[in-house]
Amino acid sequence: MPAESGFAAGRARRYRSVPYLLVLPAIAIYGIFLLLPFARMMVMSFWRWNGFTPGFTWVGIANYQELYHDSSFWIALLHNLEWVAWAVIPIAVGLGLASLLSQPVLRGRSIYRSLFFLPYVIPTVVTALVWSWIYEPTWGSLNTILKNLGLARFAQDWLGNPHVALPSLAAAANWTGYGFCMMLFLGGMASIDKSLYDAAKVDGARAWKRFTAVTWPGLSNTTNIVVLIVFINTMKVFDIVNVLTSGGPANATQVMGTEIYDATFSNLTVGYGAAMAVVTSILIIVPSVGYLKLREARG
Amino acid sequence: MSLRSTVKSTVVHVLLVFIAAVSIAPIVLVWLTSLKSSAELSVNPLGFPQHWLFSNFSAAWSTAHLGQYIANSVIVAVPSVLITVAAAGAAGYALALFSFRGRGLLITLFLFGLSVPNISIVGSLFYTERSLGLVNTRPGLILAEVAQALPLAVLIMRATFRDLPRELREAALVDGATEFTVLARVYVPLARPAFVAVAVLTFLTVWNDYLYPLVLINSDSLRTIPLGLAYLNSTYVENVVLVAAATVLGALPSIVIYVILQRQFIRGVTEGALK
Repeated sequence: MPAESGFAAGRARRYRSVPYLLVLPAIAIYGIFLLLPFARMMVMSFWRWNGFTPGFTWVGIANYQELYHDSSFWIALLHNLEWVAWAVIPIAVGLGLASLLSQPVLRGRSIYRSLFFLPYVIPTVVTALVWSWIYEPTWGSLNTILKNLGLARFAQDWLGNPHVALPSLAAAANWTGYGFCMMLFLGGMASIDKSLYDAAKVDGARAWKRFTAVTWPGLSNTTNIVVLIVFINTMKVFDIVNVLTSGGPANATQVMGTEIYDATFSNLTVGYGAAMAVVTSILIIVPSVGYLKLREARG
Repeated sequence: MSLRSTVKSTVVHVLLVFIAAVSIAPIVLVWLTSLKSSAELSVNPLGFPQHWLFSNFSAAWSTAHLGQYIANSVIVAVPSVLITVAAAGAAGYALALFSFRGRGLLITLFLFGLSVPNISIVGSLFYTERSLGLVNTRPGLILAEVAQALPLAVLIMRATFRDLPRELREAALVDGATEFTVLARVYVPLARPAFVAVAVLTFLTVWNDYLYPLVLINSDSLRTIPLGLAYLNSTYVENVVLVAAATVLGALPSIVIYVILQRQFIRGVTEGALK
């Protein structure tokens, strides 16, 4: 070991508290306002509490048993999963856009890229309001366009009809999703070795062949990450539902997020809401562990 | 160019222009709506306004308190960004360049935070803040937002510092620099792009957040933009043009920041997700 680093190590020993002092502010805030609430959620899920009176009642696993028999929670979970299925569309569109925009010869690609990503940047509440006016039944843009095209029979109350309300919400959310997926795929494509493309070109591979032989295998890790992020974001969706439908009509758009919120803040069954929150966390954290492993593997 | 490739590139551009139109049409539509009167909106929902009406904006700004909401968002977002950047920079530096007991545990804890859904903990966060007397206060909201932003910020900063040469620190320490000057004079300037990326990412995340203000804030005088817009939407049900004007104004800061700091934001998003 060279003398300098031995000396530096000696200094580091003298200032042994330095790394702890550097980490302290972050871990303190993060600990009190994220880790502590997480631990508290787990503890509260074994109690019954209305959020106001000082007394808690220990109920053991009763909240979880109730949850197991609560069909509304299972329906909400199914809605999340249906939403996940719809979210395949922005992933596919994002991949297609990224492949087109990754070609250096394409004119105006940075403008396209900026425009596609724009919906992701605006606040979710703005997205929700904008789409509430698109879906508005009497003067809303979607029905107006359908009527102008002579397709009035398809016009309807997009958020008021229980059969189409959930896909309508998913479409509004997907509007912000394809640009985001595109951006991540572009990031993944940037790290693919360019010489592989040149080699494929020399071998006479056409664009589609180059995609299947070079791009797609080179993206496998990125694709897994994108799918997991979209899955996680969809499982915890709340804002857009809260603003547009609050879970209605007739609970047709209830998701786990709105169920937790209602149980905790409307019905004041805090322990039961915590049990739902624990189950939701597990459904999200377990796949996330896979995501984090991939992320670390990528460096 | 051969005919074949001309046709192909035309098809590609038609497709891209179509998706670009899908991306901006809803935003343009709100603009147009915000410039109409309520009466005109019901007869002319799609087209350009016959008379460009700017009074919706002044009404949104003053009557609907939008100016207040924007000020509230600034007062919450700016300190949140400063605290997040400073705390994450320090923690990321320590986790990247020092070996100390508990380092592995700390990294695992921050990684864990990436996957904790905000909707799950928001209930217990509310009761935790209530017992600390922080509900319906700006510090309470700021600290919650910082805690939410920290895991990603710390991990981005750690990855950045990890990729910088370690020898710089050792050499500077040999020259008699203190740990603090090494961080401030050597590593912070080198990591500047990452700091900017984290700052932009955090700013937009906090600025756009709806759930935490919804749960933690209950007086109108403290409402941030997303919360204020949702409130206006439920209050002025009959006055869509006013809410549309408020929406345009409320979305404007996010769009302006995106346009100016696009590269840094994209860097933050992709590095946060992929690196």
